Amino acid sequence: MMLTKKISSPLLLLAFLALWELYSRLGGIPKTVLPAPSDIFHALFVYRDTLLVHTIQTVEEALIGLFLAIVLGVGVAIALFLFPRMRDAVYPILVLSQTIPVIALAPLLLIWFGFDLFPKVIIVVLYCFFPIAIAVSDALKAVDQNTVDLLKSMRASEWQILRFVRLPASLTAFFSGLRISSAYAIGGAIVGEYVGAYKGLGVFMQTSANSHAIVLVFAALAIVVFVSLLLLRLVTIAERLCTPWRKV
Amino acid sequence: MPSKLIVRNISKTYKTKGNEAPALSNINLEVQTDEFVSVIGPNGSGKSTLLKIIASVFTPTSGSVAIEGIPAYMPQDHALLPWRTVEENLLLPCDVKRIPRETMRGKIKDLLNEFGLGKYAHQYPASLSGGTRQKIALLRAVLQCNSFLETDEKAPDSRRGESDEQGVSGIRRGRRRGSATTKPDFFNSFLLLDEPFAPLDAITRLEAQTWLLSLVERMHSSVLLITHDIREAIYLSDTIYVFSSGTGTIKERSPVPLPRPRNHGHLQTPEALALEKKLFSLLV
Repeated sequence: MMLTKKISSPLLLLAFLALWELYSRLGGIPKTVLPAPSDIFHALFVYRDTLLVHTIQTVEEALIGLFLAIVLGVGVAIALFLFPRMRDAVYPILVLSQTIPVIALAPLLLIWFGFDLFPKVIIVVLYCFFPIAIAVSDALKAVDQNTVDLLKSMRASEWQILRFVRLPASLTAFFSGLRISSAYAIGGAIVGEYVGAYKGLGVFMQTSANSHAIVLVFAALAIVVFVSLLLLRLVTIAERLCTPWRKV
Repeated sequence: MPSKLIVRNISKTYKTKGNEAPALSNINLEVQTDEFVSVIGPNGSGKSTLLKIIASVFTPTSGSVAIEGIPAYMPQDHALLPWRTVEENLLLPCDVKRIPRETMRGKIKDLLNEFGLGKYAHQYPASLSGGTRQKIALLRAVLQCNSFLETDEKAPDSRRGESDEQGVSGIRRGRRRGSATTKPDFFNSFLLLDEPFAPLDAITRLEAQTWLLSLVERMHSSVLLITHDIREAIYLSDTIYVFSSGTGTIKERSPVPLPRPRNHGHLQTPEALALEKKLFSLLV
């Protein structure tokens, strides 16, 4: 039978958690391997202070990295547009750089820059930079030619065409790239922490897994999901505020 | 009557990889002050290319363009910026010319109110009907001319020389002396319109044509209009140039023997019907 009515995501999630809880309580799988959702919520409450410290660290790394990725991504996209010869040389290298797994670079970054914030921020930047740079770079080129002709007829300079037409026209693509990047940001920070850190949800998950406290791993994962969704939501709100004409 | 535009022996050839595609060949055309001139012709006959050359979007391969003042160009699509409100779209020429926005806001408000569009000032283009968007784009063109007059009064346009370097030889750009101070704002604009009503349905199109006529008559604008529509050209114009199919040349120059002010009833007169028949035979 075809589903004719729209099913809301929270309802689907609740149904999934209920099934998981039921299966776990009926002893389908040991709680030391797969804890019940109620156990995870309990752990979240009991270890809230510890988890908060690690969460703040991870969010800090993710936000700084995401901010730098935005600056770098938009900057590179504008530079590639302004210098087409550079674009032909750099664009393939940018694409090539994405074939290198960041997780393989992470140990090297730790060796070079230590266990502090900086290497994790670099890892977040490496994850988040590319979607923004490519989205904005392509959007800057794909502007309606009629509008560009209009500005040319007004004797506008290339810089003015960029400022008045290309950049505002690229906002939608920028936010599409940013949405992908924001989904990567927390994960990127955790990858960095997994390889070596003093604080952060990645370290917390690693130490919890090493001591077989699987419920704490799941508690940290729940926070990762929540923070990532929150970040996505913030991006959506920012997009609505920055592109009010799209609500028309 | 003095000339607003003189096009002499303009040719344009597009060069692609190993190929040369002639778009225009020895075009000669003139627009007098306060004159409404239309160019009709089939697709690919080079009409839009000619308009873009006059608007300094393209450079010709050879020939010269002499214009009094700087014309305002309206491309085929209305080209309103979707992220700007109607008022902000009308401020675009000021932003390009770095004229303080505050000096133009009052004029824009007056202009919008004069043409019954004041209620749309703070709306985005996406919320407007197709006809209203075209009207706003036409007002922007009028304001564009006015902005150039304002800047011409303050300082010479430093980009003019570049146009000459790009190959538009013999361009004479300069404000008509005294026009900005002795005549009300927005007068004497020169509009280059590339099929402004093509996206509109038949009824809206008729209404927009009449609206354009009232705008042009009240502002004493000179107009060069590109259109596919023979009846539109007859209704609006004083002179019609017919482009030949494919070759990028002018086949005919026909004065329109209809009095002004015009209404759509004039299209049913024997003179208009005879001209329509003649133009149609030239196009097919």
